[in-house]
Amino acid sequence: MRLPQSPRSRENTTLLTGLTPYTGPWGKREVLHLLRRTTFGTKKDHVATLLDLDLESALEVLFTPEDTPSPPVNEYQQQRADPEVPEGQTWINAAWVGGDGTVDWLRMMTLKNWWSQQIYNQSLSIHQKLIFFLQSFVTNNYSGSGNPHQCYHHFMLFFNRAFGSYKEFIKEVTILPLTLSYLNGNVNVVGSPDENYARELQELFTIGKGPDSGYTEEDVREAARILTGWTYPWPLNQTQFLAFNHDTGDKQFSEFYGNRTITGRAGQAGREELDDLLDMIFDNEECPRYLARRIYTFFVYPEIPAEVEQSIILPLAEVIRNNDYNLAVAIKTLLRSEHFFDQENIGVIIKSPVDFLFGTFRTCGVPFPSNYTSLYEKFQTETGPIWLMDEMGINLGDAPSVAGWPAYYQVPTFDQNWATANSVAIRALRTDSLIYWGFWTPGKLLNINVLDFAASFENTEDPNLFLEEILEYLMGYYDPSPILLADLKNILLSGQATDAYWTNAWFNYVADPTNQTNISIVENRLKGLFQKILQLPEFHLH
Amino acid sequence: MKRRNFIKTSSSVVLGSVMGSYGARAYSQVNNRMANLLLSMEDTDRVMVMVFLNGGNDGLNTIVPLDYLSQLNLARPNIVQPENSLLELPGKGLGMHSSMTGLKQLYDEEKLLIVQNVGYDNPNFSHFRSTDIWMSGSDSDQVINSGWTGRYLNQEYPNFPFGYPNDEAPHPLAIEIGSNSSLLFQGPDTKMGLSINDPSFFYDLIDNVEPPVPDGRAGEKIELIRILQRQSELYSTRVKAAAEAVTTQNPYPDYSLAEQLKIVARLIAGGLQTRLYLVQLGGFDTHANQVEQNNKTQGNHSYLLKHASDSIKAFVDDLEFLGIDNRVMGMVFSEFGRRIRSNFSNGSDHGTAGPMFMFGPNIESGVLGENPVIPDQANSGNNLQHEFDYRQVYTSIFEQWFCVPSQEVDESLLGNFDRLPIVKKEMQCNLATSIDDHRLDQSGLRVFPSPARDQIFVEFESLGETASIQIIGLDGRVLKVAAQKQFAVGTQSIPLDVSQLAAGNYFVRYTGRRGVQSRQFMKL
Repeated sequence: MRLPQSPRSRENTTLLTGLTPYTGPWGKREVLHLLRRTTFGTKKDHVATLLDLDLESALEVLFTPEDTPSPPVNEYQQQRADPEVPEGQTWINAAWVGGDGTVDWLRMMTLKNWWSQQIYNQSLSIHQKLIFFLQSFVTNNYSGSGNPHQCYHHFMLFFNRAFGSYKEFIKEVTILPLTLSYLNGNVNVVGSPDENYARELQELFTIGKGPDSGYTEEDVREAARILTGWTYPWPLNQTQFLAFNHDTGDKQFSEFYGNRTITGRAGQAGREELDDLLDMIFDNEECPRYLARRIYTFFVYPEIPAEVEQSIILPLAEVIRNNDYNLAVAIKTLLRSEHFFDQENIGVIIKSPVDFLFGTFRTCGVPFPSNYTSLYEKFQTETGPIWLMDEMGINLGDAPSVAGWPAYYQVPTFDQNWATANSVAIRALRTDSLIYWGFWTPGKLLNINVLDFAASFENTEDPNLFLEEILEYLMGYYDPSPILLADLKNILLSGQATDAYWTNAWFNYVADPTNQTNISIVENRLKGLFQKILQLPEFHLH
Repeated sequence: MKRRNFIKTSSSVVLGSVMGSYGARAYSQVNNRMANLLLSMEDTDRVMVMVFLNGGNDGLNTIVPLDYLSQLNLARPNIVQPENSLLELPGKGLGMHSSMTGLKQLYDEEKLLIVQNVGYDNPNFSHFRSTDIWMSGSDSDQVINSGWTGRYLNQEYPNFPFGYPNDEAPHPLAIEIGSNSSLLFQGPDTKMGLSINDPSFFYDLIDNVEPPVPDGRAGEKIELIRILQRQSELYSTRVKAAAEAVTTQNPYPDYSLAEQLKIVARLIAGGLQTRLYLVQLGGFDTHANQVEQNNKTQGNHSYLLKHASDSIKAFVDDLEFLGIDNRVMGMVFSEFGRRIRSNFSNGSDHGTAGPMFMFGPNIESGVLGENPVIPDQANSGNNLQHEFDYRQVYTSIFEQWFCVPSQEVDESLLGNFDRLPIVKKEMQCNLATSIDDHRLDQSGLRVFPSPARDQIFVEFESLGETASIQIIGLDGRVLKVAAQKQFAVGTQSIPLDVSQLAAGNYFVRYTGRRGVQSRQFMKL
């Protein structure tokens, strides 16, 4: 069996090469790495498409935005009648029902299902990963808001601005009703300022707490004064600027911001102070550096050694600034680099629950049904995975705190936060269930058709090549030991020494794929094989 | 460059390499109380160790019918042993292969039973298929994707792996050594057993040695996940604790099967309450070079038989040394025998029936069944006719050794098979006192109407429990999981849509705190 020839040195060979474009080979290793980091899991046809291109063209394809999704609809009428929206119609223009909260909660679940199905159905585009990246640090708590109407507009802002200017995005996020309510902007009024958003804006969304970050408590207070007046009429998704709540005095910032003064303005002109504030923040050189670090830790590796700070973060920050805070351009630059394709950065991040669950669905071809008997059945089926991910540590839209999920910020453990004795047991139980008994949802059974999955490989009949292909496809870190290969082959051959026994069994199945005996012979072996592979630590990595 | 870590023992972290069916992972942290308890537990449970000779053992070269030596010499002149080298079983007209001195000794000590001509109707010549048949306990033309012991364990331990291990079942329900992942312990839904990949992994576990990981970032993450997997694998603590309770064993020869059996003996003696073990020895697929050209007492098959025989003998002796021989019986089987006629290449092709061996002090020793009949002019298509269905052996073991009520035996084996005298009369279960079905009477499981066209109702008395309701085909396949959830206390009535089912007979199966129960209904 061929083993990868890539360097295994502990030394990162490209620490100092900066953003030098990658010019090495373009094969499965590179395509799988790129896809795992830019989409959730890998789809066979996407791998094939990218293999036919080169890196530059692959990036062109990946940076194509997806079509705007049609909005979520009432799929829950059978469980609880929506007083405003008939079954099958969208609720996004209906404000809020209240009462015991059931209808709002059901709308929220359709929103999450709808989002997760976008992830499941994503095209060959980084779009969904960009949204998730932004949500990983520009956080919210959808469930806590109780207001699906506002959450929908929040999500769509992320969808629409993922490829645009981050500065523009932050401006819109700042005054979005959901943000105003999440970080108390709506109660930040003159004479009684609430610093919550002003602090997080700098600490989490723009400047960060890096060694060169120097904004002061005074800066937080002054920013809070600027943000006074912004609110919204509950429960609507309408931003208002109430001039009588705005602090019209001048705001004085620290040396970190060049001692800038932002002139206070009365009346509706008070709105313009926000633009001044964001200009000041985004002019600060720490802002693009913070964003470059965010990009690096999400797309390349969570830890940033000093050499990477110099050779990658600083030049990447320049790219961000030179492109008017279009983060997609910077991400593309990073993904194009030699550093990104260094062996030391491949298969070294523990998958998030979304990458693990929906990634597995996509990678192993778990089909969501297309033949629902009712919208409610669809609703129930799609809700199941939301809770499965919740159990593993992510509920879409519901960050555990304003800082986001610890995996994306908690030094020094980062992605290791996804792995606990509890979560690895649950992950294993879930992959086992996909193989053996299926995810049972009230609607349909979701499972891996091991026969179809096996057939999707090129050399299924040859146990050695087949194993090589499967492992390369499924192991984020691909360097199987001879012991592992022997073990896995043993499963496929039921302990026999003759490869031809598997070959014959597979060909018999292919020749007569409806024959129950033929099916059972290969299926029993494939199930054991895939069970073991999906439990490998390397399957948890990407 | 791989590095190999030697991790210092710390009481709270369990390391090693019992690669479990993760089905058996529990959600909570290690329960040390249980691990300690098991060491002091007085244990009288019976155990069966299954030894699978993988590849198709040549029964005619293992137990030779002496009355047919001339026919055998015609049909397989290049592989038959000289008569004077065989180990004769006096008065039986049989000779054991010369390398099987170990089993011969067990035979002489009345600890070995040879069951002749075991097979099944319409024999299948594919390794995979015939292995699946033997492991699943199915008819030749019946496709069953669960194991015969797996189904039984599923009846006894419903809802596994959810909520396991627990106080009633603190240990693995079954243990398979080897990475082969057979159907044997596969239940209707999930694997009921734990597998220990390889003896060296077992010793890594005992010795707190971590298998090597690659250098660098990936290696750190792989190591972390592996450790967490072990921690979540509660059974590995218990396996380790049992192993550690045994410090001295009788010597074993240096064979892989011996190594596996040595572990099994250690675990049983250490107090593990696991009742079923599967170990295996491969290489019996001897199409060629089964014997040495110049010395037909030697060669691959001779080596394999010596390997198996010496290992089993050492195991039985060790069990005696450890004082647990009375609790253990063994069963040796293979997926088929080999063809009567040999190949020119000094080997033999896939065949049909063959001998099984049962061992231990409590088996009804001797030879069961007739000696195989060899035709005068065996052609390449001639095969041995089976005398016993392999499931007769299974059902007899269940009933006589494990005291399983006959109705449950039949349910696990998907049919009724005549019992054989496998266990000594005085050691057989007294079934009259072992049936305990008081729980079953109160479940009130009811399915109506029957016959039904579109909908049935399933009623049962819930104890306030997590239960599943499934619709099962007559072949045992789960056709529909109708409910799997927490039920409140009291009468539950569950409407089920059966309009999609083809006309015919079906079962509704309840799995919950009252065990597993089924009711039949007819679909029009």
